[in-house]
Amino acid sequence: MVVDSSAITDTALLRTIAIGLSPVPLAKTPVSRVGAQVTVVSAPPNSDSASMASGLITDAKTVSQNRLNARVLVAQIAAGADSSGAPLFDDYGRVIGVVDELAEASADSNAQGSAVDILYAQQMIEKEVASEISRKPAEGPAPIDDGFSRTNTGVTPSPGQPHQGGPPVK
Amino acid sequence: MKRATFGFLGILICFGLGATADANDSPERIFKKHKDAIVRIYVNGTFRGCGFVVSQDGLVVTAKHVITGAEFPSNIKAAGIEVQQ
Repeated sequence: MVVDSSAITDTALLRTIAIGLSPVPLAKTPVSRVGAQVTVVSAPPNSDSASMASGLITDAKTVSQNRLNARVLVAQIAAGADSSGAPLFDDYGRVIGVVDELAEASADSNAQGSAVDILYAQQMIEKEVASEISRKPAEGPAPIDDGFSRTNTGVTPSPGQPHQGGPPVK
Repeated sequence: MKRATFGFLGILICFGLGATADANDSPERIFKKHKDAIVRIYVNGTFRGCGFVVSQDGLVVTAKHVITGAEFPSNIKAAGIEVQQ
């Protein structure tokens, strides 16, 4: 289901029932710099495997056009139309952006693609995690049923339970 | 003076080693490491774009325009794995 989305930042957060998928690391701070190498990893529809394209950041700026009003990273990268929504990795393997529709260019080696800053997705994730915590009921540790009742001052056998271990009771 | 020079060189070497330990990943290595976290997003049976897994409990990030027009994406598929909605 769609947890959160914004047309202004062209970012959406979905919740799925996914088991066994390892998450990608997100960049904590804006680290993009012009000239840095970036990589897009995407999953084309007509292939069983993922694909990748790499290039260089050529600009980092705030874009206000159509409904979009967000900080975007522009890269000289041959990312095709199938890459919309894919992660843009920096050269440390951290996600710094989400590929947006401006990247829907031909597979020309000089194509300019762009991605919105990962900051907006991070804000959605933090909001969702916080609301998830507030939804969970407060739970203490599960009671241990081992025949002993526990008090603040120590452990004593429950009524009807034989005393085991420790010095003999006189 | 000599001691100060050696100390300064020591600091430089330490910083150099730190930078080496934090070496850049090649695109091929990034691809190999993270390709399984990429998902395909279909809306009403039509491929609309990609997304990527950001948490072990199933949160996926994508672009808003990929899911526009669909309150619930009908199908999300990872590379080789079908993910239930």
